[in-house]
Amino acid sequence: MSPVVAQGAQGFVAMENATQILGSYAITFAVIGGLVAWVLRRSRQLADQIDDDDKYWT
Amino acid sequence: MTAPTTTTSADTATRSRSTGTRATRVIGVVTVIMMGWLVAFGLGFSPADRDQDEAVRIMYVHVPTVWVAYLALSLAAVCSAVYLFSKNHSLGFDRFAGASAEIATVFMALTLVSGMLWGRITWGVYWQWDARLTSFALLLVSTIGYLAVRGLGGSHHQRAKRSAVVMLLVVLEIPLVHWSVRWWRSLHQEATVLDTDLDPDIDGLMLFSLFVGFIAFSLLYAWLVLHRTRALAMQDMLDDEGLDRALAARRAEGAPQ
Repeated sequence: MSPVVAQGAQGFVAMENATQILGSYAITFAVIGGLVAWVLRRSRQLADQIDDDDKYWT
Repeated sequence: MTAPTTTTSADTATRSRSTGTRATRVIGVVTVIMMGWLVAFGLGFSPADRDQDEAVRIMYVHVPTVWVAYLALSLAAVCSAVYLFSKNHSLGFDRFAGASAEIATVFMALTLVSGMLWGRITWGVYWQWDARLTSFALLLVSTIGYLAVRGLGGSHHQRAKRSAVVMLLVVLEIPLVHWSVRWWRSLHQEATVLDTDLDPDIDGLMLFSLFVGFIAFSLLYAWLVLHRTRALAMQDMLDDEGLDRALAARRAEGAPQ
């Protein structure tokens, strides 16, 4: 096991392996954004067809 | 994420165009703020690692995503058990389990992708048929199978019963995945935070950044599962209405003219 120990902050500049590191963040947040958008759109499609009296959260 | 209210000319009943409530809106706003913090600390303020150098920054999204996947699957299993073994067999538990499993699937896929990118840096390859990676991929496939079982025909209670049984089998794989790095020789490192002595092997700003990730992704899970559970409830209502209409039409066809 490799212990995770701080070496020293380098900030946003001069990051090695930037493609993989930034790529992992970009993919994660892009997928989450897509999921949130789909959830909201699907919820609205369904909510349009149901009266509020039948929605237990309203 | 406001919820405008509309009425149609055909139906005067009020219909809010959302599954949102005040609580989900608050959770949503706090989640966005925490995600901003996560990016700032994960990519900026947290230091590089002595051994892994900058690659350690992937940990701040990789570990919280797998945390959400485990959390979502575990709660899905609890709700499945409650549905199966409670007296009233409430479909609310089944819907929560279904919503939670959907979210778990997405987060497991994200965990695999970020893990592959991390592996490319530290191991030199994107994928190895290693015990941890293989067992985790099996867990993902099993969860997709659970969602497929939910999509089979039948009444809501038939769906709930068979999918609850499947979920109780799927969740048994989590200990296998978690302990795989100890039971077999593995490229994957052992748990950094949730190890046997519950003494995190990281400290300071790195641990703080990781906890920001845990909080941000846990809040995201709460927001998603609330919305999806409500959406699944509406889907069930519409399915019931459709079935009632189809039955009425069929009876009308058979009625004497």
